[in-house]
Amino acid sequence: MFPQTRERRPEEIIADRILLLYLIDKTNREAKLYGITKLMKLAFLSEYSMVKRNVKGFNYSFFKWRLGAFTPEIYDDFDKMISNDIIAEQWGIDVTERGREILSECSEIFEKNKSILEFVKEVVNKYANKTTNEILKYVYEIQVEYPLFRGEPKKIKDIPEGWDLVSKLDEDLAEIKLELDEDWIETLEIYFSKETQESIEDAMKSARTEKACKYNPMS
Amino acid sequence: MQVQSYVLKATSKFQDLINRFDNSTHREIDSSIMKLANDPYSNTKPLKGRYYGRRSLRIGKIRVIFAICEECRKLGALLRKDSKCVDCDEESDKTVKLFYVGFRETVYDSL
Repeated sequence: MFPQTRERRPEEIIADRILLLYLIDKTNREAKLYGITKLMKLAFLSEYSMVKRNVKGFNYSFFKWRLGAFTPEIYDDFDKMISNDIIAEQWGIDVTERGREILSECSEIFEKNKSILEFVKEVVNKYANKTTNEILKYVYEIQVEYPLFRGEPKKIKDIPEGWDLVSKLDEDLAEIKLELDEDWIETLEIYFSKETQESIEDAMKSARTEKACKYNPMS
Repeated sequence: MQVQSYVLKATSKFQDLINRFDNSTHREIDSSIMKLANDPYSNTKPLKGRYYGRRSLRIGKIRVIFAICEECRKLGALLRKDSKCVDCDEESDKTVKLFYVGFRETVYDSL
């Protein structure tokens, strides 16, 4: 059983998924992304460097587990993106055509949040070409406060399993925060659900071929 | 009785989708939809990306996707010519067109 993590709000989950998709895409441009363990560590390194500078981008809560920094929330987002045909896992993790469309349609978000994406790019540039083992070793040597927020710096390898390593930044502590307005959150909710999006596309298609009729509510 | 400023029109797909709900939910959706006839801008969200020009109305766990013809002409049609409705030239600006209704996906639930 994993320790309790700080629950993410719906808008934070949406922000995490779009950033995770961006991270997967960027990594794949540098080197093939083999496996979720490497993705997990790259997301950890990104969030770690963001939180250190009071930047609220990723909102995962990482704790120490068998292979260092771990969060089940990445598995949730990963599985959701796989089941909605945004990413695929076969010989590594790939962004699907649907995923690439989402990325391309979100260019406005990426443009607005360039400074936050720099953290992701920096991690990708440094570690994408390293093996999972090399990254694991590097992460083990990182020092975090133990216990988190109130303790002395300690190497991750020396922290007992189950202890928090990095937690999502509170809104009031954030100097920079991923800008994602309500309209975009609503739109991304649709993008992240293949079934909903297909059904809406279908409905739009019918409007292009059939005239609408006056709507009569149920009597 | 309040005078309705907008005419509500539904595509056949919308009609089909709303008929799938049970009577009580159908009435609940109707009650929110009828408010769009007075002011379709309030409590609704303009969509972005490929749905630019369209709006979303949330009724609890249900989502309605619609367009306000005057707004869609100004925004959406300019961007996506292929998204124009077949009766676009016939509809007045004061038309609200209902496209879709469905449950909001469990985007946030763990598998």
